[in-house]
Amino acid sequence: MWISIIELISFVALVFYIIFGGADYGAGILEFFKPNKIRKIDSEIEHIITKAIGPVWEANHIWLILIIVILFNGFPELFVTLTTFLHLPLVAILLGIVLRGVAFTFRHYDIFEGRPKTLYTRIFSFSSLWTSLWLGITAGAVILGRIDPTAKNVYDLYIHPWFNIFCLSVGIFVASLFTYLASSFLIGETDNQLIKNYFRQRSLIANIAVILTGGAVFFTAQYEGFFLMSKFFYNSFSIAMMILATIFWSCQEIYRKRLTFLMRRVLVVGQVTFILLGFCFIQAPTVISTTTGPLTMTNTAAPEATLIQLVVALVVGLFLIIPSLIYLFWIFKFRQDDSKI
Amino acid sequence: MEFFTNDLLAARRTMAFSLGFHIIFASIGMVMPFFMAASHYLYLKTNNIVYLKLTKMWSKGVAILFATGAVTGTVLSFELGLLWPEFMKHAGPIFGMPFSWEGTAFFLEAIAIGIFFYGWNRIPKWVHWFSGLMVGVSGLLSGIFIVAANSWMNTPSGFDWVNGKAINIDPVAAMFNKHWFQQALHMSLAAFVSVGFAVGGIHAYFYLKNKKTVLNAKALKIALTFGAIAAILQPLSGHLSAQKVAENQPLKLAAMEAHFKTEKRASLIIGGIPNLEKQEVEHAIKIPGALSFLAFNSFDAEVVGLDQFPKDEWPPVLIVHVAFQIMVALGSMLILVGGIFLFYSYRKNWKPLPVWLLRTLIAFIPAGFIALEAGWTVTEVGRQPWIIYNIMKTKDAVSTVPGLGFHFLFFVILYIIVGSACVYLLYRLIKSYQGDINVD
Repeated sequence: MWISIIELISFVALVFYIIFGGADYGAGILEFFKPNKIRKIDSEIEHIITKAIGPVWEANHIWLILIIVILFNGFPELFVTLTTFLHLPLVAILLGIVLRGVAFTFRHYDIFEGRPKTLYTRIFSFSSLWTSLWLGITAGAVILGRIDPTAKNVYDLYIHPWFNIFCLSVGIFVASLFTYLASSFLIGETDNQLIKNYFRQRSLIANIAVILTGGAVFFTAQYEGFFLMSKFFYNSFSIAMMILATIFWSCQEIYRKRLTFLMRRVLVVGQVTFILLGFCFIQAPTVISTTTGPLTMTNTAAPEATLIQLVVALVVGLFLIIPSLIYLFWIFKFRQDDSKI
Repeated sequence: MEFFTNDLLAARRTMAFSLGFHIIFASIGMVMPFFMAASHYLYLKTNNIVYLKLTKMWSKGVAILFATGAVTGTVLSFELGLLWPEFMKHAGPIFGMPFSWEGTAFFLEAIAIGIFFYGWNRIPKWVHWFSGLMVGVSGLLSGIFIVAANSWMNTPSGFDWVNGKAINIDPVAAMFNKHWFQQALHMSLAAFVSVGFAVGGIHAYFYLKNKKTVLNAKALKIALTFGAIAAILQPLSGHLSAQKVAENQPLKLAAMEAHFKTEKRASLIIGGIPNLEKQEVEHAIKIPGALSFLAFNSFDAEVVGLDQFPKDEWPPVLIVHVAFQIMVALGSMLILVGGIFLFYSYRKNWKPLPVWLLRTLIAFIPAGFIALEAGWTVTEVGRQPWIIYNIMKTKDAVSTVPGLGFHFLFFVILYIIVGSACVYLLYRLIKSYQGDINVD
């Protein structure tokens, strides 16, 4: 029972990290792919992005820490498998997280315009893309199942599990997903019609990218001899999730002119959550696939005393965190008009 | 080259460097919000615009430093597994409890920071003030939880170690291990001392440089009042901590004091360089009986020396001893300077602080942080060769991933860049607040 509760909380934390943290990364990716010709609204876009993620980005990224803590406290085998065999992708993620966080903050708090600011923007936007790609590569390696604890040489142990076209395509898929989230959320952050249209157009492009790269994930899996497609089609839950995701997506596209921003956000969040659920149902209950068998939360769980303590900490923690988080988002995301009066 | 081939050494260096770097930012994140809240409180009470300016300037500094602390903290949470997987496999379920609470505290801190930094004129002013205070409170709690986890490595409890495996795990007993309170208290005070003196000293510098501006005078007073009081309380907490070490880690105490031979009426050794071959300390001042008294409250108590332990279990005596001496020496000087500061600032007929005192304060900007790093060196190096004291050796915990030397080099370069950028940015920030121009 304790394990099921933790599984649920971990999944929720993962979804929150992908939606909120992912939207932050996506905002950086949007800046990275910003065409030069829109110089007119350039600084305005930067300003909107800073204003949109400034108050919430620290909190958005703590979901990742929560997941890490759950893993190393309750399921050390999972944590250690990741940190050992995916050492390099994780270091790449950390590099991105450090550079991105400091560049974003430095850009906001450096009161002087000029060259350092351009540099911070470049670092922020590039490391957003970089981190998203590596997060996806890591996720790809976790489900691909090439982690081989019995391997003998350095390549097979530490590089082979993630160095392939499938993992890369998951990386690109994740980056597209993040960009889609960001551009959809950002539409509601401004009243400037020009910029609204810009984000709308980006959101459409990103949406197409999500569909195409999502397809590519299945094809590259096939290419790497990993039969994700058949796993998917034999899993009725996953199919149901994909259908729901498609319905949410269609509603959004059909009613795009008439939707309030809140409704649009709900639809986008729903769509992404269903995609994630779909993937999770293919993989469940396995967390990490390895050549020596699947690692699940059940077969790697710490003794019960630890799990009980973890559940207590998480439940009490969430009771404190969720209301504060709602307050935070309420101030900055749903009361924006007050400040303009 | 040993640098790239000795993975144990590389892992230890990486950990030492990452922790040493992070702890500066973590301390600031724990302490500065209290200064900020004090100044904010004074503004709300007196409506003096200088306090508002000060609060805003400090909060920008905190934002920069907190972000750096948060990302380097994220790195550390991964590094536990990236560098020490064997340790985490066994220790995670036992000492993970403070980490799971720290997760909550850190989360609340990040939320409070968002509300405080961006909430000016958006929420009721006392709610806003409270969010600023909460940044400090949850930051301090985070620190206490993390130190409790560290102290478990020094005084492991809450499990039985049978055939290389932990059984009968009791996470609550592990969290409230024998040393947690003393260590957490010592670290919290140390954070206040380091940050108080650093911030106070920096404002003393700008005060002297910029014709004694009110902003710097007020900043200096707030920061150093916290710092000086903490410095004066610190020896008491140090004493409590040393007694715990004497009780639970006699070998560490022996290394701190370079106390080679077990004896009654053991003398306190001040300064000096331990000579491992002759097993004595050269050029040191010795106070007979003082060590016995400090460790066990009795001049005649027997203090176990290094001779009671096999040599391959000794920590690096030279490093531990010297680090301990640095910590104590700087700590003592900070008490003195702090006391003088309090005397001059709070005497009846108030006059501006004398220039020599301001200059002294400038000289002491890094002192607290050096003492803090030296203290952590004592704790961490003094625990070697163990990662879990008397249970697991550090060499058995290290990752099998090759090339950790590169990992070390990589993070050193990254952190040097980030650290320099931080200093540069803070300098520009403080400078921009010096003139009459109304920033913000």
